[in-house]
Amino acid sequence: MWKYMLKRSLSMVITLWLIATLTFVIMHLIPGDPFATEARMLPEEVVQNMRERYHLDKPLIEQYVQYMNGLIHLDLGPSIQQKSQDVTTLIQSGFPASAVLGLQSLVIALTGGIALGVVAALFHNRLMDYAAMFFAILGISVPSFILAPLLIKYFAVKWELLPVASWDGWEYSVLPSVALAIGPLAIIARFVRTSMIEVFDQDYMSTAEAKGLSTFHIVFRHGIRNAILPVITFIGPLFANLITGTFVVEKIFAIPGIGKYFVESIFNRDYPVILGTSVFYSAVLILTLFVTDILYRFVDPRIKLANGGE
Amino acid sequence: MTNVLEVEDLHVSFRAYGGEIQAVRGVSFAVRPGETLAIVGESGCGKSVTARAILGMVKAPRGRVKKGSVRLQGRELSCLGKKELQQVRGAQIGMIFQDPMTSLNPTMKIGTQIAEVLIKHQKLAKKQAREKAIELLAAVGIPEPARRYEQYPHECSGGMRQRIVIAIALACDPELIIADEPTTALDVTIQAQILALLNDLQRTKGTSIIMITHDLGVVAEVADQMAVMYAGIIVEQGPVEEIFDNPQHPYTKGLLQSVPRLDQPSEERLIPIQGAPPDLFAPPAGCPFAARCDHAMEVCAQYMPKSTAFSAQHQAKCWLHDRRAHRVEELVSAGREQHV
Repeated sequence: MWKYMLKRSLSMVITLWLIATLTFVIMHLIPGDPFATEARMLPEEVVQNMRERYHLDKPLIEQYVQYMNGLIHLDLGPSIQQKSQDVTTLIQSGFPASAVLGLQSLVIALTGGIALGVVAALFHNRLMDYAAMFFAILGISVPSFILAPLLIKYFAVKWELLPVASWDGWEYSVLPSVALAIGPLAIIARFVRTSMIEVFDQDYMSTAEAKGLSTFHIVFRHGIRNAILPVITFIGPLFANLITGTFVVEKIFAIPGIGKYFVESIFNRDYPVILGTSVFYSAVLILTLFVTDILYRFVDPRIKLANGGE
Repeated sequence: MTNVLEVEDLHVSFRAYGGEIQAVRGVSFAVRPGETLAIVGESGCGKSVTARAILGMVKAPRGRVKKGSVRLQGRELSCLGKKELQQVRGAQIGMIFQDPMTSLNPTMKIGTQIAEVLIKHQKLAKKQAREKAIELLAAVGIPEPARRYEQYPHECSGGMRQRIVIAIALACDPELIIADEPTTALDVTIQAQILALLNDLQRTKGTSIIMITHDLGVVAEVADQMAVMYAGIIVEQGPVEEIFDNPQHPYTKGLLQSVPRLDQPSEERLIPIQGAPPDLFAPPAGCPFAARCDHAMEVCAQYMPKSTAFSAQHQAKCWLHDRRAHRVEELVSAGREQHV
C-alpha cells in the first residue's frame, strides 16, 4: 500500500510538470500578447517597459525556467491584468467561495442523483421510472445559464424565499449550489439507474431477498455498494470541476470565486493566470483521481491496487 | 404426521413480447418432515420457477402466480403480505442457489452475510449474531471460521462459498430448505462433499429439503421422493426407488435410459430423447411429451392425461395407463403378428 502511494505520488508530480509545460507552450503559441490593446495607444517605450516588468522580453526558455522555479516554491507569479496581485493570492482569495459552492452542489448531486436513480430502478419500466428519467433528461439538457436565471426569477424575485447576488452567508449559496448541481445530479441518476437495474438481476440480490430482508435493507446494504462503482468513476473529475468554480454560475450569482479567471485570463492573455489556474485545476484533478482510486478499493474489496503488496 | 409443505395446482406465468409464457402449469406435491424431495427436469421445465413461487419470489411485474396454493405447515403462504412473507423467508424456509460464485454479495464480508439473517429473524445483537455465525461456519465444515468471518467471498473457493450459502440457509433452523441445483456449478469431488454435508445436516436437524436438479445421480444419492417435471407439469412422482426400478412415464424412462449406469455393459449405447420440449408460449393441449414420445397415440396430443396411481405414493400422468388404452403387451404381440 505504501509503496503504491509513493509510486503514485511520483507519477502525480511528473504529470503535473508535463501539464504545466504543455500549457506554457500552447499558451505562447496563441497569437497576441497581454499588451496588445495598450500597444495601440501607448508609446513604444512604455509598452517595452511593461514587457520588461513581466520578463516577457526574455527568451521563452528563460521565462520557462523562471516560471518552473517559481512553481516549485509555490509562487505562481504576478497577474498582469489584476494590478499588484499575484496569482497565488488570487486563487487563495477566490477558492473558498468556489469550494463551498462546489462541495454543496456535489452533496446535492450525489444524494439527489442516487435517490432518483434508485427509485427509477425500483420501478423499472413503470411510471415512476419514466418520470424520474424525464426529469433527468431535462436536467442534463437545460444549461445552467437558463436554469440559474429561472431559479433567481422564482425563488429570489417572485417568492422572495432566498437572497441572491451577493456572498454574505449560507443562504446566499443555496440557489447557486442547486443551479450547479442539477446537471451532475441528472447524470448520476442515470448512472445509478443503469447499474442498479443490473445489480437487481444479480444472484446475490435473490439471496438477499430469500433471507427475508426488507426491501430497504436489500437496496441500501446489498445494492448500492455494488451499483456505486461507475458513479465513483464519474465523481472524480466532477469533484475537481465543481470545486474549482464555474464561470457561468459564479458570474450570474455574483460569487467571488475563481471560475472567472479560467476564462478571462485567456481573453487577456494573462500568462501567469492562465498557467496558475491550469496548474491549480490539474493538481486538484490529479489528487481527486488518486483519492477515487483508493476509494474503489474500499467500496469493492475485489479491486487490488497495483503493487499493493497485500 | 402433517406435511411440511403442500403445493397444490400451482400456476406461474410470465408476460413477454407477444404473449404469456406458462412456465408452471398446475403443479402439486407435498414434502414430509425430514424428507428430501427431488424435482427433476431439463432446463426450462419450470423447476426453478416453482422454487421461487414457493417463497413468493416470482419477479413482478412480468411474472405472476396465477393460481394455486402453497401451504407451509398448514399455513397458506400465497395470500401473505410482503412483510409476513419476509418473516417466512430465511426463517422458516432457507434457500440455496445454484451458483455460489454469484449468489454471495461480493462487497460484503462473509460473516456479515450470515449474521444479518440472525439479526433479522432471531433479533440477536451484533455480537451474539457474530458468535452464532462463526458456529455456523464451523458447522458447515469451514476451517478457521473466525478468520473466514472477516473475509470476502472472492477470497474463498467455490466449494467453500457453497458451504457459506448453506450456512446462511441453515442459520435460523428452517423447517424446509430449497436447494436449486446446489451442486451444478461445482466440480465432482466438491459435489459429493456438498451433498454429504446436506445429508448430514438433514439427519441432525430433521430439516426437509426440496432438491431441484437435472442430475439423476444427485437424486439417487440424496432424495427419498422425486417429481419429474416436463414443460411446466409434473409427469411422474413417487418414491425414488420405485421410480428408478419401475418408471411409468415414457419421459422418465427416457431420462433413465439416457444416463450411463455402472451395471450396464460399456459397449451398450445410451439412448437420447429425440427432439426438444414444446414452446411454453402456446403449450399443447394434450400431453406435452406427445411430440417426442415413441408410444404417442392420437389422444395424447389432444387431451391432457389424468394421473394414474401405481402405489400409495407413485403416480404418473400418461394415457398409456388409461384403462381404455391398448396394453403394451397387446401392441407387442400385434407387431409380431404383422412381421410374421
